[in-house]
Amino acid sequence: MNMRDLSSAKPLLQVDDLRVSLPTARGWAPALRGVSWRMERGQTVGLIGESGSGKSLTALALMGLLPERARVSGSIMLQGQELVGLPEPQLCQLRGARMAMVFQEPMTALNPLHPIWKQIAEPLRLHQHMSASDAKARALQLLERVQLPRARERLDAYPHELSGGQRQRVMISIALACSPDLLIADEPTTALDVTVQKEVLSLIKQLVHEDGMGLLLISHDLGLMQDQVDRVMVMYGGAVVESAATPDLFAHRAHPYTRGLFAARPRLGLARGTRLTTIPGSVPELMDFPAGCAFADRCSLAVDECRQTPPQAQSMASHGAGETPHVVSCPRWRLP
Amino acid sequence: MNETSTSAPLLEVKHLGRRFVLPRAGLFQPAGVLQALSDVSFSLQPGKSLGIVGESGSGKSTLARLVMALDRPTEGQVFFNGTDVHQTHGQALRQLRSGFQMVFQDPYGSLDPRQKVLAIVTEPIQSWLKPADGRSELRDRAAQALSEVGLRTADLDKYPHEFSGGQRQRIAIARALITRPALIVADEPVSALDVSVQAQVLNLMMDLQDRYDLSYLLVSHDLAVVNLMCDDVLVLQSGRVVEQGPASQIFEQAEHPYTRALLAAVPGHREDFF
Repeated sequence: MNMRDLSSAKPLLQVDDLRVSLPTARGWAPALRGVSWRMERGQTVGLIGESGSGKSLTALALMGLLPERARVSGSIMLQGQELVGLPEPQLCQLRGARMAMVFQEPMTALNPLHPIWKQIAEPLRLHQHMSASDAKARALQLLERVQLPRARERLDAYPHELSGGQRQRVMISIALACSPDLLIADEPTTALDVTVQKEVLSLIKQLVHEDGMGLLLISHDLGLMQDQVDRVMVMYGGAVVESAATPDLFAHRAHPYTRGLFAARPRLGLARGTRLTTIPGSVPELMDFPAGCAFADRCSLAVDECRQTPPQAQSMASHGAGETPHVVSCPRWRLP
Repeated sequence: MNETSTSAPLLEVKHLGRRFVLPRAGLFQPAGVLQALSDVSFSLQPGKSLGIVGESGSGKSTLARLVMALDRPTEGQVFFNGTDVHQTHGQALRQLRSGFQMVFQDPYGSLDPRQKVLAIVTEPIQSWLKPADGRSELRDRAAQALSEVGLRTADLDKYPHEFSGGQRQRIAIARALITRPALIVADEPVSALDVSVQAQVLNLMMDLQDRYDLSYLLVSHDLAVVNLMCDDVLVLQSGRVVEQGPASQIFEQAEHPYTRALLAAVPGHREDFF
């Protein structure tokens, strides 16, 4: 591999008790309520959750792209360097160079006024001070690497000349331009057709594997996670409610929210007209989450204690015998 | 079951086609032509549902727009209760339209942000309301439509931004229901919603179907949703029907390679963990 292996004593990413509050008309709303995890180079981690669960906010916090007035506490260590509180100029040197992000919507994330090679060249010129001609040559290599058909002709194409899947390939090549250590992909295939989704995801998986970077894949789609990541974290109400190695999570869903999410999903093989199992109620406003477990008001197993005391994360001893423990933040998970 | 299969179809589509003329590439070049849809035929019985499946650009939405008489076909006909919707105009078309309504994909874009829910939900009946019907009649009808979809009368005086995505889609369904239609054309009605909200809206749509013997023409890229909601399926690729028939048959033994590719692409297709 390369020089980076020397720093392997420090984890690629270590997040400890990350908390983010956002200003609202009704005061400070807790949007992330103590998120912690650790990942190494070469590991792929999935973040599952619905709108308002805090998964995208987690990504923005890592990239230092939170709204200016947000209050952040806790720690985000990227290879031993603290990112919380890091001034903007230093963050700029990291973004696109050591960590990069693929956004959800390739239609709006690309600049419609610049040809695609210029957009791929931007991080190269900024971080690696490449000349325009070198950057253009490198852009071609990158487009070939993400398997964009007729890459040479397309260097001068504008985003509107490409299909959704092709634009997402361009986005990926921008993210990979400076060979980052950490790649964050926030719903990278939501806007794409199902057959294209699969191609783009397997491309990301292959590139991550080749470069040995860390991947944080964010999605609301459970089925999609199953084939793509080693480890899954389920978020609800700004907290991780369950995390496990992917096969363990799919085999033994412990948290009532995880169980509800799996049951609600329509799937092939259900008889026509079968009513889906729903989670009662809806995701509350940020200000209205219970002080204890965020899911307590929608949970059929909840008791008064759940609403008052935040649940402790506990390891499920029976599985997760490998390196990744199966952790669930619910005292009542043993109940059927 | 036998009665419905022998009765007259609610919706009948015969050899429907739509061709678009593209902008000329140059002054002296002939204009290109895009055949967005060609030779689509099907019929739909009252109380039944048909799923239209395909990827972007396959002609799904063009078909939905033609059925709704929002666009004119270049070939073929659409019959609603035996009447050709594209040969009907003016007041007669407005009357006919009260029998078929549409629910759109994006509950954020399909509701006017500057109108209150009352105005949004009653819009389809305002044009053919008799002068004798007062404001209170309108309000009663709207309140009833909202209660059908699980919202409250107090919600009539709110604006769309005060609702979540799932609630907005309920408002869109209430707007479709207010004319008491026999057919609802739903273009990707749940694809913008979260999984748990999606389940609530799908259950609601199935309950309404049972209650009012509604027919759905459901446009979707999600085969699991179509499998749950539809009796028959029509698979489109590049504007042509590649496979059509009973859902059970298509999902269990798809013949066309394109249908098989779509099925294989359903995320989490493997059943073992469910």
